[in-house]
Amino acid sequence: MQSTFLKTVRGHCWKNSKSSLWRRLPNRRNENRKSTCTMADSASSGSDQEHNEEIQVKKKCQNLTRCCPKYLCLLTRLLEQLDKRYIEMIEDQGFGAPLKLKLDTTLPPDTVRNVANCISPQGIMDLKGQPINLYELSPCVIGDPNVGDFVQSSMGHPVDQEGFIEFLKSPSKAGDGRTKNMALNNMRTLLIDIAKRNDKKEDAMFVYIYRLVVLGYINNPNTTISANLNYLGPLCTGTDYRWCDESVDGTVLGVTRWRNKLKPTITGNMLSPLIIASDLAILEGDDVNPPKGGYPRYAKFDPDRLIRFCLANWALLEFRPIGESLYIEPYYPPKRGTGALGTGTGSSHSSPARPQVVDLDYCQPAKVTELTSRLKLVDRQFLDIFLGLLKQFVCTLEADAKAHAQGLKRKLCSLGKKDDYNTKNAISDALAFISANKAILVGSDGKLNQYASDIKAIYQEMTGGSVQCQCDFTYPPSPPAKECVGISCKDLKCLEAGAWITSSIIDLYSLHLKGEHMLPELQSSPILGQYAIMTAVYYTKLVKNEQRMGELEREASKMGLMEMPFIFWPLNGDSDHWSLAIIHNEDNQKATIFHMDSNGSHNSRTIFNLFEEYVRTVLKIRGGICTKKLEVPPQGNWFDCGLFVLYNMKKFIMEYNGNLQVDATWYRPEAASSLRTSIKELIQANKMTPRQHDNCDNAKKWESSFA
Amino acid sequence: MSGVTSGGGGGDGRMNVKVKGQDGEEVFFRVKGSTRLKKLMNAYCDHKSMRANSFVFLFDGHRINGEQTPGELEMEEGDTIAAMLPQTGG
Repeated sequence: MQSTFLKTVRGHCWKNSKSSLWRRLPNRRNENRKSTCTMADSASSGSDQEHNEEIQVKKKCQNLTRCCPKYLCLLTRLLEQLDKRYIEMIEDQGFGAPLKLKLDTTLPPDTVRNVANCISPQGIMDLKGQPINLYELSPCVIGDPNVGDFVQSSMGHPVDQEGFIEFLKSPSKAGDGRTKNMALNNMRTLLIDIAKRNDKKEDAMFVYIYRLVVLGYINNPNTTISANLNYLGPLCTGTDYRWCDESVDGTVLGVTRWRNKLKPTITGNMLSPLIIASDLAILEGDDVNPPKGGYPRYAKFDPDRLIRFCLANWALLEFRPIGESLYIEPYYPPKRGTGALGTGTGSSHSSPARPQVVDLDYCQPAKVTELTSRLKLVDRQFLDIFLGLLKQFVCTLEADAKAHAQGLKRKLCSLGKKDDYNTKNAISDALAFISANKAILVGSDGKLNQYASDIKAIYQEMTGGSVQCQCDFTYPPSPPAKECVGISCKDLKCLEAGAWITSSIIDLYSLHLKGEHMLPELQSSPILGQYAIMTAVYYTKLVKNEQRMGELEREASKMGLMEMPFIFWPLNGDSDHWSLAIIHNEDNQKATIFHMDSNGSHNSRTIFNLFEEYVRTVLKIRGGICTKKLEVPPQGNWFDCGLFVLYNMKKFIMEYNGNLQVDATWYRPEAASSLRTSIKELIQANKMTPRQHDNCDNAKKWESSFA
Repeated sequence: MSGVTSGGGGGDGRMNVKVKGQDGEEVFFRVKGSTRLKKLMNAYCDHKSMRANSFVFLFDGHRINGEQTPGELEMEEGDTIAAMLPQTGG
């Protein structure tokens, strides 16, 4: 049904875009000032008729109660449709499949010259000669320090406002080489292309430049844009976006894969704009701090605002480069007050001193208002059609939500009240579903929809707990010892095939490499009792410079590191990769630092530098310090590095006797990968136990059995 | 652990401890030597608007368990607990 509808829409737009539409545009050359004024405030300064139309459109916007991400792809298609004459080929592989476009590349020389003038040494201008501020255009790229870090590490160029513009202005500047030139050339080509196509249609061109500047970093010049047009919405995954870099649908997406030039397969839903948008709604609303145990109200959820937000960010929300090196994560807004939902510090990323770009508005309202008003001028009819489609899809979305909720409910009912792995996973799925789809599931009164509240009732019965139930447990489940690890559902999930190992799992297995829980095969180790294993996240303290050495020193003495001949350090430091460093302290006279990395993502030099300083100032070793990078068996995939760290540690402990021959054939890589199963078995053998809330029956029963 | 007697904060006496985030931001808490640290950890998560258990808490380089108390860990007035974000990698 939708495709027929679309066809009609396309035909319609196509016809109109050729004739009357463009004629409606004001002639900028004669009434430059006046028309700008119309853009900014068309409701008040337009003619009466225009005024009425404006009101009608606004009314339509207000009638929309909620929005769905599906509209984004429609928007894309419709916009593309408007300009079909400039697009050579659209390969539509059906609903849900990537849409491929190929742009026409024959250029009339006049236009090239005109537009080339717009790209001046001062930066990039629109046709009015106004500079386009790239920062305002792409908050996702610039605003997020994490992405900045990545761009920095891959291009060797810091991303700050001046630096970035500098980067765009001076392609030939030495140092950054190919990537930089490529990005710039791509963008230029695209701008020229587009400008040419929109000869004398400045408004349309503005819109296109606006969109394509963003895309410019991503695409090749002779462009086949592969877009993952995501029809599925958040319902299919229910993924909590704060953890979106961990695992989605079993597929792990993260910076490392791009860095390693492994071609990603994009499956399903990477991130739902709706989720971000729902946070946006909360941020804008009054209920930044929801009542305890309740949900924030969406009283100020504004579909029009959502449209504008998505319009400004659609390229970054929906388009990902395929096979290219730039990886773009959505921008998390800066915290306000105490922060809404912790968006600023989500996932494993740290938020060190943010660069001075935090004042950028999340949604760049001024620019977006201007853009949308222009869009309206370009084609009001288009907007109407678009809003119509939007309504249809809102209905679909709600139906989806209902169906999915019923599925979850059935699943929970069939599992019954049990305390096992499957049940915990089902509960956690249900929780994730509700938290990821708040915008649809929570009404303006702050209460859950009926189908969602059913689920809530079931798992409350199952867990005896509140919504916050996290199914956490402490490992090992003996009465609290000094050394134990809190494990959550998320950590358990990371033991599934192909998922990344979390810091908690590293710590969990480390427990079995030392002390009272030591594995039997390690009892005969030549270095028994002579080593310490650092907590997996501790390395971050070393990386962050503001942690003073004095603090590290105090902690080192409390841990007794000075007297330890061997110290094992799992290294990550928010880099999405695990490797292992070993400090061998020989009688406090000299030291050797080893580094083992199963895929070479970590720079050994940097690590050695950090540890040399640590060994000198904290461990107080005066003599010589050797560094040695050890060749170890390669992991051969992009998800097992955590296991290789653990296995390297284990092998080292078992085999080190003054001298150790280590090379790429030290052991079979499968041996390390099989730790995934071993760890699962360890957890199951030690019976995981819920201890998270006091009113949980299971937890009480379990606790009383120890009393 | 021998328990509360040797706790520098003085058994059940109150003490100030600070929780330091990865970004260097410090949040101060006043706790009793016998309070389970779970309370402090949840309060910190609340303060950061994160879910409970969103952080790994380290004291002297070791992970802290919610069931432990400052007394058991021999915390002293002015001690620092580090709140780190969990990490993952492939």
